[in-house]
Amino acid sequence: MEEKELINRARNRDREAVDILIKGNYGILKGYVIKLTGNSEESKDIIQETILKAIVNIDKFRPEAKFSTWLITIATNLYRDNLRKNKRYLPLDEEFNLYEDNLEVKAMDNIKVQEVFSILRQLPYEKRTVFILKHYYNYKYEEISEIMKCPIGTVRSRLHNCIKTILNKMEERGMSDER
Amino acid sequence: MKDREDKKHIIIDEFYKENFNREILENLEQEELDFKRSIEKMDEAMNLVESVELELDINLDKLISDGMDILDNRRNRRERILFILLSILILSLVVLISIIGGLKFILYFQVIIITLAPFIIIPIAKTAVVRGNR
Repeated sequence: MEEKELINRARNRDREAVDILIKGNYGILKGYVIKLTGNSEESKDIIQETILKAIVNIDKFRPEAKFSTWLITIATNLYRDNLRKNKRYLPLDEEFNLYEDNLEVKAMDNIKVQEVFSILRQLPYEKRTVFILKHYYNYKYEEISEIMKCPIGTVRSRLHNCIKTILNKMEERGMSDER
Repeated sequence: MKDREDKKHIIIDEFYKENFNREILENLEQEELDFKRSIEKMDEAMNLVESVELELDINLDKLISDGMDILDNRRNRRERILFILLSILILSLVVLISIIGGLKFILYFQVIIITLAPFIIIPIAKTAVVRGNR
């Protein structure tokens, strides 16, 4: 079934359509928020709030964009608001123990993954968001500028700055020489 | 120096498949080639987080139900307010016309409403039932 049809049905309070839309896009939303926050508790809060907001405001959704993009926009705004009002969401230097009980990745990979998350978390929010949207989800500059509500030039310069910062941090941690 | 920086920007754009000037990338110097390789390494390293499978313990069914309930409550409230406003408007109109047209108007109005009501209410109710069953 096409997404537009599902959206129309969801607007008419069709529970099945809402189910398909939310469950079908949950994976993308979850992956995005985890990369953005690097924290399981915060990710959980933001994902729950995003889904609730999306359902309650389904009438405001413009079908020109993809539903997943809309979810990502809501999650980005919620994360930004949380950063502004809640100091709890700022500690970039806190102990990073996201994988202690939850992951089944090999020990070496786990260390590398933690390093990557640590680098991501040290990036300023705006640059991190642009990088995640571009690198992992391959959004166009134009789409990112709509999500972030900033000019395309700003998106480009944030991404380029971000990559230079990541390269520097990888070098500092000796990750550039690894194979 | 500036030229070298520009080339690095174009290398990044090329890597992310954005619009860029292909000609500039034809004669890359060693430093720019190294930069290109370091971006590929960064890509490899950053993609490691894609393997993360994290269980967040979110009950999607309950969340969707809660969302639908909030949506229903909000819509019901809106409909209730609309109904009250519309009722006030109609009653005010009736009162106003009665004052202008006299007591006879109320009698005529009642006869007209009683006669027309079934012809209006029954089709509306039928449409609502059919829509509800769909």
